[in-house]
Amino acid sequence: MRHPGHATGSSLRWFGGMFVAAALLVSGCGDGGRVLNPGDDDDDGNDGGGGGLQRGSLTITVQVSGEAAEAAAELGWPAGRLPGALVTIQRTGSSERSDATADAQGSASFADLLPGFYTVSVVRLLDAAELTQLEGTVHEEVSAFGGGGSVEVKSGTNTASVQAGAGSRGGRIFSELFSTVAYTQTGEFASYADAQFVEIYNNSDSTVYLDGMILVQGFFPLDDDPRADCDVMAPYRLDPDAIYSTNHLQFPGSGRQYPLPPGETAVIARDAIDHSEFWAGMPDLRQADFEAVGTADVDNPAVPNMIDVSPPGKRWQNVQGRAMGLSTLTYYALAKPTDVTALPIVPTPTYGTTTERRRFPRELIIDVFSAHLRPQSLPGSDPYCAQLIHPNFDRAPAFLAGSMTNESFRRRVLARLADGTVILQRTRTSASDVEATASGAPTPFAVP
Amino acid sequence: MRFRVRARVLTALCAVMLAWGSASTYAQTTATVVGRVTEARSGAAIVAATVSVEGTALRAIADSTGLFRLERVPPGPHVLIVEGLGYATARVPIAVPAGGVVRRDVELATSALQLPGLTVTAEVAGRARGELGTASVIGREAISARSASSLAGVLELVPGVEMRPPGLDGMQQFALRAVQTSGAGSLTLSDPSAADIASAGTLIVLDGVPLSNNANLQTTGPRGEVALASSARGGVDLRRIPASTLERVEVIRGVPSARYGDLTQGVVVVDTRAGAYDAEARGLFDPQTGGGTLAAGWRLFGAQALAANVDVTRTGVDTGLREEEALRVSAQVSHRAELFADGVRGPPLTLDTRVDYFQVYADNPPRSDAPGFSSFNRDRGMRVSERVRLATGPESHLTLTASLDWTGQRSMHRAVRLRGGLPFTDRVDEGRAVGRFIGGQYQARIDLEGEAWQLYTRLEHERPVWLLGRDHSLRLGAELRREWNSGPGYQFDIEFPMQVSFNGVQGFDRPRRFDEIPAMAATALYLDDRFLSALPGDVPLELQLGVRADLLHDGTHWFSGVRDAVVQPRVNAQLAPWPWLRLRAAAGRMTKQPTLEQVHPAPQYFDVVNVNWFAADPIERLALLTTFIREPANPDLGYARARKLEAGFELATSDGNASLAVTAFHDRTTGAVAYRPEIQFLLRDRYALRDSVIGDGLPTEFLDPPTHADTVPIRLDVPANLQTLRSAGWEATLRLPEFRPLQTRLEVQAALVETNLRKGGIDVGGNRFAEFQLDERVARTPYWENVGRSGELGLATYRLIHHQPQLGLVLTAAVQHHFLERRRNIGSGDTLAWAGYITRTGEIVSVARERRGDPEFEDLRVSRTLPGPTTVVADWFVNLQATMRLPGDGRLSFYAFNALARPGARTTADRIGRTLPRLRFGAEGTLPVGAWWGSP
Repeated sequence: MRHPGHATGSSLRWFGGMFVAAALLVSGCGDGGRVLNPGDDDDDGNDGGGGGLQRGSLTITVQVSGEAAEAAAELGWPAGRLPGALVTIQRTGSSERSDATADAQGSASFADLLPGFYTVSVVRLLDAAELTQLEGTVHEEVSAFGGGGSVEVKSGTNTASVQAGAGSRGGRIFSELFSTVAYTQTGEFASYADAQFVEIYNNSDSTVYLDGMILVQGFFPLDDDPRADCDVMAPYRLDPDAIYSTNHLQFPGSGRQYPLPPGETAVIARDAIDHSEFWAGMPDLRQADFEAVGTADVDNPAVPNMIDVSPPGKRWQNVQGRAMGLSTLTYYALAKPTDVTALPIVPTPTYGTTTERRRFPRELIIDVFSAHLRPQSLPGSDPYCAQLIHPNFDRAPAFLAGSMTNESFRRRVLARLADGTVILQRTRTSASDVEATASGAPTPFAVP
Repeated sequence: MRFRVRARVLTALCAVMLAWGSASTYAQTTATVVGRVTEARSGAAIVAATVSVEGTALRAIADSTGLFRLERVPPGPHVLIVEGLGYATARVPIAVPAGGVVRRDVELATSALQLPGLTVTAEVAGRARGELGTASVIGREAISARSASSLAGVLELVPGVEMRPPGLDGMQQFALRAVQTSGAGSLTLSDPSAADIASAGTLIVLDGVPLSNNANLQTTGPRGEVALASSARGGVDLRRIPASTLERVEVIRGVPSARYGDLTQGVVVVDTRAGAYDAEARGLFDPQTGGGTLAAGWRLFGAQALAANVDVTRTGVDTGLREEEALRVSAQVSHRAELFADGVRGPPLTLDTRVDYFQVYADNPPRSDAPGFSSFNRDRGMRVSERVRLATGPESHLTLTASLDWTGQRSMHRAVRLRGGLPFTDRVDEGRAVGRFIGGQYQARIDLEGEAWQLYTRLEHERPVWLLGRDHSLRLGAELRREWNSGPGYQFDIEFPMQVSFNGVQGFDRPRRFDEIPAMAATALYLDDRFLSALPGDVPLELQLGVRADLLHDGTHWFSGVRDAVVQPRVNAQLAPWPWLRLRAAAGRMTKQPTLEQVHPAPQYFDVVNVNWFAADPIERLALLTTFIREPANPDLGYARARKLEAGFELATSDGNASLAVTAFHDRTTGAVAYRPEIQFLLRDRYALRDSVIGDGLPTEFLDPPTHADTVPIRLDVPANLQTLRSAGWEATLRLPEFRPLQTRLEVQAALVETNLRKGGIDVGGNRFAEFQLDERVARTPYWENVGRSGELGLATYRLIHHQPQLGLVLTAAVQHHFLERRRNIGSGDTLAWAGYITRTGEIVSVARERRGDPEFEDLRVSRTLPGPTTVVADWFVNLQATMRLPGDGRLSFYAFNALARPGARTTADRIGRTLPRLRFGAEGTLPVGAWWGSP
């Protein structure tokens, strides 16, 4: 943020020179949608005899509705359909992904699938011509469509439809989240979490301000206890109009003290220090823009401190006096400046008792970022809910984290403008928008 | 000082004694038991066999024809103990009528496995010696049939005790009549749990001398981050007592006589083998545990006997995965000399000398995949005891017991730690200091090295007294106890502690030497009377009345002042309206003294951060901290007080082969020690800085005097008599007669217990208070009162015992069934459960319940984050055991623990799953090596 700014005024009009990063989406997909199965021989000796697994086919229709349907209509697409979308499916519990491109009617087909549950993610990036088509309409900001869901595949023919929404670039959006910890050794509590940070990026073409905005940590019900499992928590977890949070930090300032020029990042560090001083390989965050300070962690006097505005009794500081513990298991949201004390505090069920959480209405939320754990990536760990938040906010989390150790997650690049400005992908679907950093290590202060 | 003399109760006791004393005479209420002792195989008479009635002083010796005659036997179900030299001891149940003569013939065999009616469990009608209270008595045969590694395995024969596979892995503490409450741990920080309180309150008496855990300081205290695998704060670790050396175990579950003190729950009286017996070797092997015992007893010149045994047992924990192991070495030598014996009456003077040694080393060495992590917990101890018994008349004795018990304890825990940057001071006294910034990876290590000592003396006079037309058995005694610790204590490098949790208000602990901690001294006096009386209609009534006074001194010796004293009346009554029925009821008070750690807690350190200036350039950094030291000792700390009530009945068939015993109980301990949060505040000085321009390369300095100060609330953890433990429930034992065609019988023992733990005084909630301390914007924090937890456990054990005396074969299938297990936190989830608030200057303001909903208290209406009720799935598992006699009277056993390899039921919609102990096979053998080498 305090690095020299790029010229403002860049916009989607210069899309001609961009490099569409769609290739990133198809990484990891093997042989055109075929799910691999060891011992893959068709023994048809006894039909339905209960011997081998019967495979199924799946046809997915990508649909759009509401605002997204209006934008699709502007583009001349068949009513309620999203043609040309890249549809990626992944079987729960497997790392194999398959993809297919939807036809003109928005249908994508997959054959030879093992029965089971599949997560589906959909992305459709607009090309330069399509962007020009939208210019001057109310949907001018739309740069991509994205969506996702979950389907069950049984033996035989299966059909399903998936909803996609229209995504816009947005101004203040999350660009990187380093929420894991570094361990000296596995299996013992010798971990280093002080280098955690959140990076925010100005994805728009005009300067925005961070003063008074709120960094909101979501919550993550685990599915192990019937008193607070995914079903019990559903009214809060999947509220279409609000998100619930116990921990949130407010940016300092109340006017235009903390500008964020286009193409610039702002880093909020747990400790704004050179962490390699204490643990090798950790990032140097001395140049962080904001610091979340606790009573016992070190305080860099050169970096302004975030203000803890969590409800009473729920400050974002642990008993060790260390601030802002980030987690891979949940999502993060950015909220517009507001007086949080005016927001209602709602008791929500927690293992037979209640936890007070503040309710942030939908109109305050401007971005959500959800880098979730990969299914079954932690053997023996508690099961968690597949959907953390209502699709109005984020359609599907990115099941990315392989462990909770030293991994960083960032938003994908959508386009690179002629002047070098990077446009990050924001389809409001973390499953499509978020990836692990190239080396796995955190890359603060920069987008790729 | 609190001194309670319950004169009223004493008067009442005397009145009861006098009242019953004026009733009818023995002739109408006691019976005579006669019989003949013969060898099972040949039918030949066994001469000089001794026959005694369990729990009484009644004893007879069989004559040259094997006949015996026991007179004045109180009516009701009893157990006869029949012992003959060279024969296995027989336990024979019998129902005695109120008057007349009853005949019971007894067969003995060289191997108990050949005895008809062999008892391999605790006897339903069993009685502890000199005790009328409800007891489980476990004889030598039942102990031999256990395949246990330690005393803990033998105690599984007590109703309500869960079965574990044999081995030395994990601490083995025993608690009578109390179950785990919600959460394994505490209400706040490290308050003792219900299990801690109950196991500390269960007295273990080994060969007439109480074991004590009161001077065990092997704990890192209420603020320690590392929980050491030490028995401190709870009961004695029973791994030190091998099962193979046990002769007899009496578990007094009910109200013990006034003879026993320093307890709240009950007493386990353990006798190890002594006297002359054939040398034997015993070994136990399974994939995790292996060990052996050599034992022998010799008759020496004159009337002397010497016995010795040595046991070595090793358990590997997670064999194949880790090197972790527990190793026990134990040795005992006992010597008895009977002096001036004339061969007609008992010896006028008996000297019993015992020397015990044990070591239990639990080692967790570094693993190749985790270098830098290791720990051990090593206890070893030596005890020398002497008992001098002087006969002062027929059935009258003066006994002096003295013992010195030393336990050397070493614990070490080593780990790699990684902490973020933080300001640090290493001051060990109060005051301000320019500190340093530390952080990063380090090797942490703590060592605890203490030596717990106990000096114990008891003088007891036992004599029959003819008083008010009754024959009374009186015991008058005095006990002196002194306990202390020494040794280098709790040691570590302050900069590299185990904990990484310095929070800017609480400092890292500081090392503490144990040899600076004063000793504790206690004195007790007791009087106990047992006599037989009768109710109108000649219904025999047996009574045991006693009173005991315990004094805890405020100095280190018995002549120093009294810190606390408690007078404890105890009553046991037993009514036998018919020979097949015994009705029993008891009430009594007991006390448990606080531990050395509770009387002399470690000082608490608070390192308040004044300046935390971590500039990018190390030269410009400044850390300023002020150290405060607070002493949490509580001069009012005194005894925990317990009240026990119970009532029950025992039914037995006339031959004693089938029986049922049911006991209902209600126990309440008040004043168990917990940590009282004493709220104080510290003044944190704030300073202006000089040269604080970032990047100028100049050291930053603070300007004295401080510009202002703010307050930091703190809580001192003061040990206080705060907790109330209430346990209520019932225990039942059922023994059905043998189903002869199959030579099999069924025994069932079951217990249903609910334990309730409440903490008096205020509770501030751990995380909530920490936040209040750390964030000066939080003006107040709620506190709670009388927080509590509860637990329920329903446990039944079904034993099918198949016995073929002719082959010397016993097959046992034991099914343990958890039919109920539930825990809950009292008041969790109630946002109005708080009682008031605490301000930043430590003021405690209570708020009436009807006002807690007012808008002004919105910030306080936060529920405590405590788990709600938890129910564990009901489940069962089976243990199988086969024991057979070997030629030469040895024996060989095979056992399968959880023989069906049940993994445990899974979590369901409303119940939490259960993990059962894994399947384990093993073998155990006893070889009479003495018989091969010639009897000693």
